[in-house]
Amino acid sequence: MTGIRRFAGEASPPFLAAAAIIAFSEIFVKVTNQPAYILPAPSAVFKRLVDGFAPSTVIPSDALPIGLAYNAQVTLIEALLGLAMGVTLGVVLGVIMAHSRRIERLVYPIVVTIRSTPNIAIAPVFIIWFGFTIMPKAIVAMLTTFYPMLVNCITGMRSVDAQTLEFFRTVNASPREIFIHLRVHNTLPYFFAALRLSVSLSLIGAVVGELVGSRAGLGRLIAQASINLRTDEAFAGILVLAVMGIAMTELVSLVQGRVLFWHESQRAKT
Amino acid sequence: MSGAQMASAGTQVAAGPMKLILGALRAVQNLLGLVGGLIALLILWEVLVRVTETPTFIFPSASQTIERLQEQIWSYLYEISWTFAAAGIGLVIGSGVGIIGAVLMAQWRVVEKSLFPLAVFLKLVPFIAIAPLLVVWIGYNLWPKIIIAALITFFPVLVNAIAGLRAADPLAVEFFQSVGASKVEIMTRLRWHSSLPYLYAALKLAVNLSLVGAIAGEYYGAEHGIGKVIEETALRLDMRGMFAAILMLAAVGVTLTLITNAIERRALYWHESVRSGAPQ
Repeated sequence: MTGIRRFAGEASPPFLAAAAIIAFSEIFVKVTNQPAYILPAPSAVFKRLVDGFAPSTVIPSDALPIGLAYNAQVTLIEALLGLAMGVTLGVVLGVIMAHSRRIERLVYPIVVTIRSTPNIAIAPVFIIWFGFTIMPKAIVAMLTTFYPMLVNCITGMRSVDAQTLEFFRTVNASPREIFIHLRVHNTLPYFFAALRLSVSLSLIGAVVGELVGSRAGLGRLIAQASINLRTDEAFAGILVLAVMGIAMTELVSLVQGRVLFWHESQRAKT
Repeated sequence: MSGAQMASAGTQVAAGPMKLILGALRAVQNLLGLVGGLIALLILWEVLVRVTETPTFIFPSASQTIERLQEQIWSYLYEISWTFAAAGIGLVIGSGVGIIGAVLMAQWRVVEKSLFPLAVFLKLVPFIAIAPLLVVWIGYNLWPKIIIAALITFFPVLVNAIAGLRAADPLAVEFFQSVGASKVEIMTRLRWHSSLPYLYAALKLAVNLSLVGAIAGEYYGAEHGIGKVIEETALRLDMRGMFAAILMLAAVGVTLTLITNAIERRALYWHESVRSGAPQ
């Protein structure tokens, strides 16, 4: 009971604030009589949202599926593939670079160059190479996500407690045991922190790839809707993207809570 | 203001000029290492393209790209200055409003409680998708790019600044209160400092995101900007021109990263993230 009350106390202020903002914009649009292509009312966006998830919504002219559900699925798969590639790359490079300062010095300039170049500028190259397939978006998402993972893995691998390391050595732990039981264990909180950031970055990467060139996906849907002044549909698309980003991040938090139940960041919550 | 304060404190902390010289030497060594690495990268690129005999229309070699960049350098510099103006103004507006908003929100518990969770959610929204809409709304000028850059930098900065302001040690807050420090003093002397590491983490991401936002806006309609150059060269399948523009952006991007890292190291010399020498 107290749990429910505490939850209500925590969750109701933002909920009320959001409701107030939506109600205000609805009234503002209605009162000032904004044309729908400039600023659609929240109710119009909501109607689009419901329509968009209705099955078999197809534009007859270029026979592209415009259903929000279909495009959301396309974007989700692109983002997840890119995330998987980015996380793998980040973890592998992170472990190698944490292991050897020499390799770190060798690889670091490449990594910094890739990170510092705006991913949207490189995207057209991949679209020329791979066409309007899933690959350009996944690669852009990968390039966007791998850096936080890499940095956090290096930090986690290196920041092991010196005394614990000494203890491991005194009990004759093999390098492999030190790696698995000490370093990997120590990296997990850093890994999840990076993963939470990477999840939302992977969606940005997929959308960036779609904006540069694609046949489907929420990024393309929003761009097309904008160009054709279907502003309500563009807003509906952004809303779906928002829900996807929030859901994916919350999912990571959930897994994080299960895996890191022993870590202080999780124990402080209860 | 606090940056200058801390910088002067930093020289006091460093015991003697010896440490300063050593520190400078190390910075130069790091920079040389990075430059050497970048040159090695260019050579590797050249050798790989020559050995595999990759045609220019797929992957132009480093020498071809640099040659093209030399021809176009002035026009590209001009175009990139437009991108920079949009990204820079957007970054300043977005992060400025974000920081002010965070400080204000930290003053009123009710506002923070109701708006902070919303901001955390909004931070996860890929607002970059709104770029085409802004271009349609506002036109082919600089404003949509500024707005998109401001919008995508605003939420990360806001959320991290609030998280940082909150992260102040409660015992330290209590101590400040016990010696009769005012709310303003607690904010400027304590909370602001505890928020700096969070703020720099967000700003480093925001620098890159603001450029991405500005270029996204340029793809969807602009008279000037490096994004327009890249889009036009892509349409003509002019790979050399495209790679030259990307190379230029990469060079500028690396410079920006080095500058932000240097600023961060100066401002946060006391924080473990800088002292441990971990990559940033």
